[in-house]
Amino acid sequence: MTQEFVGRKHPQSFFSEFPIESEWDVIVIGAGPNGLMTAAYLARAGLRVALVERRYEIGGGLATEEILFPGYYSNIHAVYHMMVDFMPVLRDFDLKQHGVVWIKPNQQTSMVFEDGTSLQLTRMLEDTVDSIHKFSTEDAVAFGETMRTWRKLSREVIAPATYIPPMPPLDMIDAMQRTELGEKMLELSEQSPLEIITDTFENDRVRAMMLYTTCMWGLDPNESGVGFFVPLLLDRAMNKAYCQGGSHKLASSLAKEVVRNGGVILDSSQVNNIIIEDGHVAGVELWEGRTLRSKVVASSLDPETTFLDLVGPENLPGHLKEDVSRWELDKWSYTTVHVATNEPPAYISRDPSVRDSFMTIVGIESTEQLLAHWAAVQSGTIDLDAFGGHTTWQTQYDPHLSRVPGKHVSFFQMHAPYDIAGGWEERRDGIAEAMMEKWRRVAPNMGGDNILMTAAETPEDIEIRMPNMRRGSIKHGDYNPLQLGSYRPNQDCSGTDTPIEGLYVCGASTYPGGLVIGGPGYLAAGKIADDMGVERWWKPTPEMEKYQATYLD
Amino acid sequence: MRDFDAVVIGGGINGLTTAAYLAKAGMSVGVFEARGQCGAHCDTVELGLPGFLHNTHAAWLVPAMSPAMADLGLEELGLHLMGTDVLFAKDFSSGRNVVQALDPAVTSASLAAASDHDAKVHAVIGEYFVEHLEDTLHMTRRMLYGPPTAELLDFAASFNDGLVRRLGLPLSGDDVMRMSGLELLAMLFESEEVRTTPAALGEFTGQWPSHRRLGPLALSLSGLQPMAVHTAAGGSHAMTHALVKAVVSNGGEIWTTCPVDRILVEDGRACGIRIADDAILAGEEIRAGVVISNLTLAPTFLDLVGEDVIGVEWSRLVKRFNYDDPQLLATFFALDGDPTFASAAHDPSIQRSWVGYFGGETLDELGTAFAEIGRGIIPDELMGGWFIPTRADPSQAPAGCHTAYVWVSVPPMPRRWRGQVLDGWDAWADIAEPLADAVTARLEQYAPGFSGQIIERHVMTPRHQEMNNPSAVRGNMIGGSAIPEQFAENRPLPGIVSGGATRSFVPGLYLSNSVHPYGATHLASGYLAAVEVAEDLGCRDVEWWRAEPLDWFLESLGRLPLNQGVDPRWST
Repeated sequence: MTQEFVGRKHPQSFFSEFPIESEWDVIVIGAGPNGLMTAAYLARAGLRVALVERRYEIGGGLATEEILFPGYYSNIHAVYHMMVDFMPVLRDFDLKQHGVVWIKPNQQTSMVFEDGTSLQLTRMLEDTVDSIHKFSTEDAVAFGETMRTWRKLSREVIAPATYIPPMPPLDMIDAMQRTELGEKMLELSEQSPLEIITDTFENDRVRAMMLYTTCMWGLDPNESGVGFFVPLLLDRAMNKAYCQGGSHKLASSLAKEVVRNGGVILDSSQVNNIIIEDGHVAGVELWEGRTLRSKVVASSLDPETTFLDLVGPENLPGHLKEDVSRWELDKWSYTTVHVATNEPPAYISRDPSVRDSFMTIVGIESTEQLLAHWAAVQSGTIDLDAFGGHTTWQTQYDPHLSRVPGKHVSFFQMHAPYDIAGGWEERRDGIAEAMMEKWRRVAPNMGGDNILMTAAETPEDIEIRMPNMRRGSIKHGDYNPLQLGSYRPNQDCSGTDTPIEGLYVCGASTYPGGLVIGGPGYLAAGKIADDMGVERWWKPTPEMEKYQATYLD
Repeated sequence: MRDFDAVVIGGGINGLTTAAYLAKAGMSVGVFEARGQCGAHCDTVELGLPGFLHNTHAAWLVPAMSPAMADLGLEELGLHLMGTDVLFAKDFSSGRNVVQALDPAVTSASLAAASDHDAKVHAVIGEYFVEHLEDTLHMTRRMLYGPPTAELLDFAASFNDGLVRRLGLPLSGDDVMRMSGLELLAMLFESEEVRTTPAALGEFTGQWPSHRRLGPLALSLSGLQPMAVHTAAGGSHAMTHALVKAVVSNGGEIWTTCPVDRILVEDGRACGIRIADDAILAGEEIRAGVVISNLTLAPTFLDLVGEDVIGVEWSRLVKRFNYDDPQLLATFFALDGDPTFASAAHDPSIQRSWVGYFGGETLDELGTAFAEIGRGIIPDELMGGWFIPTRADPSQAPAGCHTAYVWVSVPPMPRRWRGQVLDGWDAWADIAEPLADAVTARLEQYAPGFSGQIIERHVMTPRHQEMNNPSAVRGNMIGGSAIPEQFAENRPLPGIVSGGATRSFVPGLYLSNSVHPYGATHLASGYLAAVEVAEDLGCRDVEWWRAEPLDWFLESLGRLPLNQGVDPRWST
């Protein structure tokens, strides 16, 4: 049940109303969040855009599907939207007119412990401070003080920089030295997440909570050089938003913008190869035999797929082939149990606010246990005694996910290796049951008659649904110093253009990265518009302008 | 929220069709859909294992006949229809089968193997249709895509009159119009294998051949083959996608997760809608020149307009609307290979069909089973249909794998099965899995080895259907039973629509569901609503709105891909 299911083949067939050969200004490969954004910006700029999606449904990780069949929908991939306060796409397009509504609960994350205590991470800083106070006065004070700086750092430096092309490291250092805040960022960058958290907090459970929050998306706690993510991810983890109606709504709204502005979306249609003529992009060939010709192609897929599978190693100039072969995938993937229940999870907690939590971390009792869990995952196992993960009761914000009034949909997700000892086919059910058992320890009603349906989603399933998330790499590739900033995906391509004339990259493997932050797609759209001599109809956000004035001009 | 010229309640395929036509004709249009996605009865879902696409409601797609294909450019918007050269196979436990194919010689040979007499009758019917091609086309076009008028029914009666005379049957066309399908089939053919084939096809369209007034359907299915039936590349939901794009690219707005809880009526005229309190735009009132309801009859008038508005008399009538026709228990299989039917030894063409039927091997057996189901009994010998869409479009499963959608006819409110007493609607929770086991075992009889090919299985009962789409009351898939009292000029009920097929007795309120002809994927009721609303809004006369029903199909028939997923060893 692995690779053999990945490569679907579609024999030659002919659909005469859509011409066998057609001309476009821009072709975008992959209708995930980034591909949709690139296509939407450029279509609205007046270009003739074709967006090609292999799956039967657009959206990529923005997927809200009836995985709990029949009658229950679940966000099978993206659910916590962390950058809605900054994403330019949400300012440039009026997605409200398509019904995009963001819900931002105050009770963002709870970490519940088996003894009934819990820690809260909230939008309102003071509520978090209050919660930490129950564990450690020093940490409560430290959190309040640190977050004042970290918030500024996140909101004035890192978040706006997300939507501005990357700078080489030395230029970056020069720029950051202009302000005290910038200096702070440089200082944090040197350190590993574990060092920063350990230096800042003293209580073990507070540390565990902060570590989980900052590293849950695949940051290696021991990796030096990625410390600047800590303030960003912690601040953003306190400002997650839920897309009402399901994450797919963001995708379908962007798709409507593409179509409304004259763009064409070809779904269930796979690109077989990118045509290169004399070192220049000339179009793409689709699996059913059609050719789309264009001087500009933007790929939102991972480097291996874009460069080795679609362009072909023979067409890669210079050291691009070596750069692509060196690409490292995410250090871990995820496995998720989706459940439909009569009652929502009822946590045994002394703090009633746990009930309102957007995300609830379960199973982690100490920093040591958390680190052991991650170490096990990185070595290809899951220690059934030490694992933990995060849960979300989705119908809390979105009763429509259940087609049966009053019933509930939630999930429990945890970090997992792609290659698990024993293989996922064998281990799938056992691990799902272990997760449910773990969940019941803090939410005893998550079992028995309360469960209507369950569905497990393993790293292999992630890859089968979305083959460009190779080996279940949801960010298309690891966040490490050699794959971040101007090195993502490599020095030649991090500005979204590539050494192949006319070929652009606009997916999670390109600067700034994954997690539906809306960066790569936005940056590629700007670069393509500039290169084609098309006027940008959009302007930088005020945060970006301020950053530009402070650090770049 | 701004006002619209027209709002459509419900983003199913017919509502989207109406919306797309009106938007393209220059009207401002808003579609309001309760679910997160459009296309309630035209869905494709990866139910379990990723890569296996299951068409969880409609699998039998017939939009090829619709003028919308050309008017809206649906193919260009991504609706790529695909089929198999063998259109339909009816399988028998004797190890024999009857097939209908695009090639008349294949059909004829198959029928002749059952009965020379029946093959000749079939040939005569075929000749008659061809001789009267213009009349045949006219009738099909007007029957599906025009309002049911007395003239049209007279026309059909006289057309059938000529046919039964040619066949030497002691009947008049009027008799045919009144007969049940089963009665007529018994008179037409002598072989049970041939007789039960059009009967089974009728069931596929949601029209029960045991009902009176279905004689004409049985007659036409005996001659015309289900040529216009396809799956779509990437699954049924591709049709929804194309229609959504048609709406949006013409400036229409689609609001998902936006359930409507009220149709606003002022001075006796529908003038807008109110959004439900638990949705985005909660409680907002949206004004519109006209309102088109793509929900079925009862929810439209009882829940959205309200009994207080329509009054006691109308309410009583609407409450009488029948949803209780037999429905489907659907089982969805992910398979690691293509099932081989035992009857392939008799005629291997069954392996080239993506649609087939098992059980119900004689008219008596069918009639008895229909009668039982009508009384709430699930027959001991299950009968129903199968789709293997991957034989037409292999992209709906991983390479070398297949999906199968197998359905059996069941009463929506089961009272008895295998001697066990059941408590109707509530019984579904308990009998879904045992019934699916019985379906699997039944398939195994016709396709030995089938069980061994199953990777996973999912079940959907009528109750699940209603749960997913509350407008499909009792899980009814065609917008209300196709019984004589709810047929043609009586659909949905006498008097509800007047001056056409979709204009309701509330001025300004139109229906694109529950009306003539009946719910299916031919996009007919949505087209009818579009025509009548456009006439009333004065935007019907536009250059591009010219396509005739069936024309796109007749022009495209020769180039639509066939047998893309059929195993090479079964190719001809």
